[in-house]
Amino acid sequence: MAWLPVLIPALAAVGTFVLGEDRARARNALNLGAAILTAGIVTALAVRAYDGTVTVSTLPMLPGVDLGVHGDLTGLLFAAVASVLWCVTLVYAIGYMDHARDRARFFGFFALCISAANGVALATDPVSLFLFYEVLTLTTYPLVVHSGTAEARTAGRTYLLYALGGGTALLLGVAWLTVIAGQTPFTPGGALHAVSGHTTALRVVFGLMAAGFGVKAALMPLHGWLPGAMVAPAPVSSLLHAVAVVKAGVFGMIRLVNELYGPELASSLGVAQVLAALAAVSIVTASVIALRQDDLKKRLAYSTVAQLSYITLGVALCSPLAAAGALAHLAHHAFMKITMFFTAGSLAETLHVKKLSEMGGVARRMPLTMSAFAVAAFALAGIPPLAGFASKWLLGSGSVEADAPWALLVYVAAGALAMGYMVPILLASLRAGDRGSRTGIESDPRMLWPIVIVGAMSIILGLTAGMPGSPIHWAMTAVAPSFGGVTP
Amino acid sequence: MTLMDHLPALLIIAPLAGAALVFVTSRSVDRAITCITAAVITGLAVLLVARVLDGGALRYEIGGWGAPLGIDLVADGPAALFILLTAIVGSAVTAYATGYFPVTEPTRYGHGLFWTLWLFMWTSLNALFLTGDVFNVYVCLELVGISAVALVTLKGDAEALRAGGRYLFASMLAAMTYLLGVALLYSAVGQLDMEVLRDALQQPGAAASGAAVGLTLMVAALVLKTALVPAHFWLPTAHASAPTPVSAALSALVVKGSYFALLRLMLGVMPPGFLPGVDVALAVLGSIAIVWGSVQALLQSRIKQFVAYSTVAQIGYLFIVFPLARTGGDVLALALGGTLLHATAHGLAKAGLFLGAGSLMERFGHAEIARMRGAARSAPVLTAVITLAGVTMMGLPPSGGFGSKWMLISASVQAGQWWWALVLGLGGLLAAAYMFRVVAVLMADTADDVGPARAAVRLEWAPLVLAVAALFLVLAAPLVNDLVAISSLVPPGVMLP
Repeated sequence: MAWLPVLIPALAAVGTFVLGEDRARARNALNLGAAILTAGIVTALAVRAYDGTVTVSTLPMLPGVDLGVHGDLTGLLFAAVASVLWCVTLVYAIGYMDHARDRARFFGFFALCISAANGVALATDPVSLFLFYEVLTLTTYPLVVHSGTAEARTAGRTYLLYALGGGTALLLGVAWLTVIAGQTPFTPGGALHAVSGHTTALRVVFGLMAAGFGVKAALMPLHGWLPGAMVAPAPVSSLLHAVAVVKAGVFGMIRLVNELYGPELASSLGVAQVLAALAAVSIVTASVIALRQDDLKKRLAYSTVAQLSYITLGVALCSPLAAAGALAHLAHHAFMKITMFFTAGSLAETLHVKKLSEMGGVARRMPLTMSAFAVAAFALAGIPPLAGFASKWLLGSGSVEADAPWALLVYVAAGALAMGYMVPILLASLRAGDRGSRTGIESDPRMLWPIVIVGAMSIILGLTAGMPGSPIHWAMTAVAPSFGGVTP
Repeated sequence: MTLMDHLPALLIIAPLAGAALVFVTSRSVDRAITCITAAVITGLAVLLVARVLDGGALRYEIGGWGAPLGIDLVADGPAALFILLTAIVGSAVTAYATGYFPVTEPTRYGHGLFWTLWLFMWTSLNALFLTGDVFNVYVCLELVGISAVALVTLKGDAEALRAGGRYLFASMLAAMTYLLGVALLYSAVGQLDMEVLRDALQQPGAAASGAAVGLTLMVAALVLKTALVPAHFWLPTAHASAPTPVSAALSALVVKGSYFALLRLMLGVMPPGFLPGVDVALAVLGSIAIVWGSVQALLQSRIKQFVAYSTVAQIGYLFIVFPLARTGGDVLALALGGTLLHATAHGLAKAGLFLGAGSLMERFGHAEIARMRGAARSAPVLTAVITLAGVTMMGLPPSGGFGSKWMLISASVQAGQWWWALVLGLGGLLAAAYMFRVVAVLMADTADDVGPARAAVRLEWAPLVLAVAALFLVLAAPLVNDLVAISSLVPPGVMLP
């Protein structure tokens, strides 16, 4: 059963390729059906995991190494985000790609990306995770270069250069670790106690693996591929920046610190502190760069770089509250950022607006879309009671708990900077301009409603933060065992 | 004795009988006979693998004489694996060839001869994998070499003849050197059977005799036949100018034939350190091959030359095993398993890549990579072939290339020779660089003119099947490891776990 979230999207992809370019109805039905089914299965696995039953399934692969997936709470949170947002993004993409070419290729690789992301989420151990992580790189490439223009192909090359370079570092790290410790399943609290004597090797392995995950997590200075990869179609940017790819990177960090090394070993080796410092620098630098971007998607991209480092910093602080905040922010940020990328895609596709300086009158032309964007923007900046506030509150409390007041300062400053780079977008859309004079309001309903729904989620997730099943509650339950079973 | 006990002999007799039948019967049944023969060989190969997994290595005494008087065939795990690989790739190549050589133009490419020569080469390859005697290795190498050179020159144009001439020169040079080596070895030890030699070479003083010189010559000859850098000079032109099915067979199978003989000599016959420094030297040359071949592949403007240089690079991976092998135990099992998995994965993927590249050439009517833009739309299946086969070249999961790279890296780290792991990592990145350079062109939005798709869907599906098989080959790693455990490729004094 734990294989299904990986298998169903992969089969949907094969079906999509076989159906070919022209049978759009069958293709849409197949993909939507697969997406809803996958989301349902992930939910069912999560209900089981809440009851304490973790479904595990392994398959012999290499000598001493099995390929395994399991439905634990940490992984399922990521898989749930990917699967639920796959449903929403599909509707949006069907509208967005209505007249585009090569749709079979697009939807096929889209489904493969989700398959790989679910694999990353549910992998039982570093080797299996690496396998899906590389598959994710490969299946994203055709989406990045989808348009086939010279610009897209350059972006694709940059993406591969970073991603495969990171992948090689990860491979060497994982292989070395496996030689030292054998195949080590992710275990809350760490799986390396037996070999903690190999301090030097463990430090190098941590560095290699963190570099590998850092590429997709866009941890500065490994973030160079992300702004360039913006040339991809909007649904892909949404997927890249909000759901599958970058989250696979930070998710890897979460597994690495909490469940492979364990918070105790990671801080006693000193590697967590280095990671925290890098993440803090990354947050501030990326936020400052975002302030100066006129291109809407670029501004959002640098905001992503900063927000991802929120998560990395939270994990690296090695305190229960911060770790829970990091995992919850992984989910919350997905909903907030996908709203914004959907909006950017709608503006570009319907109004051909790509820059802040061209946004005058947009709010009058697309009031619902821009309202959803505004909600997501305020949520991202951490305004209560929206989703971003809840996770940032946890991250902030975690900083205090970890006795790292400087981290709290970073989070507060980053919140102010987020206001600084989000509010100008809203102001620009409210200015008078000729964009409002065009006929019609809003965009294709298949693009509008997904935006409204994910925008509303920023409110709903914030209001329900204390309830069982909300990302906050889910994340707290999931990280508790890593810190000796104490629910924070 | 049942049929199962005669499998090694049948695997040589079946393709030989097919070749003879094709030669004597009317031209109209060439294709049918070749296809039936390919199916029969594949069936026999599957039976052989099952038999070896079930009952261990098989030793077959031709005519019942037995070594040292007679000639023995040895079907151990690795030999069975190579026979199966040859059968699968060979069947796909046969299917492709029936679509590639037009029925209506019987003399184009002189292809009337193709079917006979192809089955004859298959015969010699199977014999080479099965032989347990160093002199027979010479005979098989010559037979493979002659039929391969003839296949390369089938087209008969100036380029093919020049490439064939160079290939013939390399092949003859290697054969002569090998024969000289065998003669020296025989005069020193008086034995030719590998198992008997293995015992003889462990006697004190064996290294001081002419045996060491003889074996050095034999190793050098096999390195030349396997096209390890810097002895690769003949490979790119020969593999690129041959008709496409031949290119695929040469790159995927023929270089593996001489490599397998080398593996037998280095690991199955000589005690560790018998030729001091040779194992490290081979791995160093392999590392240079990985880098040099990849850089050359990156620079090629024509697609088959590009694929051929990728072979030069991929061959390098096969030589990392030698300095690791003497450690024995887990390291040997990992390194040997990784190497054989690499040979298998590369065989499948490279055949797919060559067949796919050949079909792209047919579609576009030229070989220039830069003018194959837009193939992702006009020839999606072929683009998929190139990309999927590329995954194996890069060694990314879930391909067999990933499995082999993983095992070789683990073996290197475990043996304390971590520098090979860096080479393997670098090789993957370089392969990604040269593969994606081509894939990016195929994905371009501007489209170059393509001709109409040929009616034969085999030109697309045969390579796709191979590329997909290579893509999921990591799942076959347990099978490969089971076969490695039934191996005679274990240096004396060293143990498998």
